[in-house]
Amino acid sequence: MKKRVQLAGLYAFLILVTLLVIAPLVVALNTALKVSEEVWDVTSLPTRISLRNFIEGFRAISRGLFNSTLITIPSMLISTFVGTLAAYPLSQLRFKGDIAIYLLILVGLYVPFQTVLIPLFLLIRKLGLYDTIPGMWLVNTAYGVPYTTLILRNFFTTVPKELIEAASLDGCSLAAYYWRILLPVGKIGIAATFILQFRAIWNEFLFGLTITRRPQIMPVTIYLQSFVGMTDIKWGHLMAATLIAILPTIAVFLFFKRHFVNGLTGVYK
Amino acid sequence: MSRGLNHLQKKTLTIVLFLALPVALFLAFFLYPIIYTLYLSFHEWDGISQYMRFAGFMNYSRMLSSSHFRLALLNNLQLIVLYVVLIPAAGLLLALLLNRPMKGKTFFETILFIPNTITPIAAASIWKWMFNPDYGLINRSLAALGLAKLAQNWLGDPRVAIYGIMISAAWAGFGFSFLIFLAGLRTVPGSLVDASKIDGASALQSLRHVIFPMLAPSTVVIVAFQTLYAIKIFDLVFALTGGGPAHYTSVLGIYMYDLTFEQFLMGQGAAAAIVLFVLSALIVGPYLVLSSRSVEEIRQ
Repeated sequence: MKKRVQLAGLYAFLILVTLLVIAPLVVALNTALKVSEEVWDVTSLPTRISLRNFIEGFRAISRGLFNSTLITIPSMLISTFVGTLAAYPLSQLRFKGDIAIYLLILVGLYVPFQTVLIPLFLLIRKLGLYDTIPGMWLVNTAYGVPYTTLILRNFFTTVPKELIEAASLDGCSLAAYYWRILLPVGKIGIAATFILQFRAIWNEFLFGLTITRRPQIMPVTIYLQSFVGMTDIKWGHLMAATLIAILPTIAVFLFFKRHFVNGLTGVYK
Repeated sequence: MSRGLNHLQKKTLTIVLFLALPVALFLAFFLYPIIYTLYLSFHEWDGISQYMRFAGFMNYSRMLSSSHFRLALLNNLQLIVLYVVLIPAAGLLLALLLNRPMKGKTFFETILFIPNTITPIAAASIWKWMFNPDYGLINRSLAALGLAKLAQNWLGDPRVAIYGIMISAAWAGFGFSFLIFLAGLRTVPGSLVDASKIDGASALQSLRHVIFPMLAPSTVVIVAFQTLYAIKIFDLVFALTGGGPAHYTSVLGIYMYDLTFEQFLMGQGAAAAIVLFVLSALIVGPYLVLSSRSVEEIRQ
């Protein structure tokens, strides 16, 4: 009996917390589904479901969604690829200075972006990449590599050392080992890295704010921020646009939850 | 590979080839900018003109006498308390409650983590609506509960706005500690807890003497990364209040951005960036030393 009461209490508490956590998203959805006269009564349900806000919200940020896709997918692929390059020698081969190089790359995890922002801005301008999509690829790759290296290194160290020894006895060169054996064996780590990089780059804001200027280049986070910053906000439009902008990351999280959690716990250990 | 190379040379060549690109990126996008920022912080420059003027420590002394800087630093310190004490405490409690075989476990875990997956700008957008003084859910709920007196201008009142920021930051950020603790608890063998119970330990005693010590690594990770996050926080505050009203919710990241990209005082912006760097290094330095030791232990 005591056990059952305890269990009921536990569930009641967890359900309450979960409701509190999800409430802001539910409020956003409720507001987004309403016709504009009803928006002001935040606790009422829509008397009729209207997709008007979603159409307007989508129209307001659609170019940003397109830009973010164009920025995110290649940056995710390239930063993960460069991460595999660094993680391979750092996890499989012993050499002089390996720990020093590893720590140097790790330092990159901790440097606040503000500390590199001014020189980065000048460098990107000098390279002719200011306000361009390739500029965003470069920046997201450069600042993604410490993360991808760390996750992938942690995954690659779990690959048994016997594998590289056996491969070298079979006459497989070190470079061929990377391509033919390590990458296929490490694919779970690579998948986790993709997922984390997708979220990080899609959600990125500071670089978008400082090195993009034209609407044809700006990522969706910048579109959303200028929407939030308006003086006379149309809340229905804004809530719909917000939900549309976060849909990709929530969907990726729900579909690839295992990889997502693997990756996060793989970085921070 | 080339015929003339022996095994060792081949190995060295492979390592150099693989590390060339990552190391080059590190030099160009971390090392060079940090040094350049340090250099800039001792100069006066508007970002456009040909010449910089040497300014000694002037940018730093200006910062120390700036009220915006003091407000921002104070807010960062308050946010550290939030991120290092309050948020992890909530994350630990929820992780402990869910650390048992039960129905709906995955469901709870998934929902509780969702706010952590979205961009801080979206969190700001939603919370700006939640905090709307006239129509937002928070003040409406307070009124409905007969607590209308507690209703606030959550983001507009200089005395309250930082708490508005903190509430939304807690919502957006607590999933991280929750997840790390959850993963940490999985490494605690159930047999150990059972054994302590057989020895007559109460639930609280086994928590204190068996579970907490095993969570030490997770706690170190959380403290290091959450402190760092509280120091460099930018997006959420920028989108929610822009640091206002009158800098009362500003943080060092916003202070730096404002000097650099709004006022074009590159030297002063760089000085603020260096302060951010030093604060982070104070936190991360010890953490890196610790984790590099464990790297060496694994190697040996």
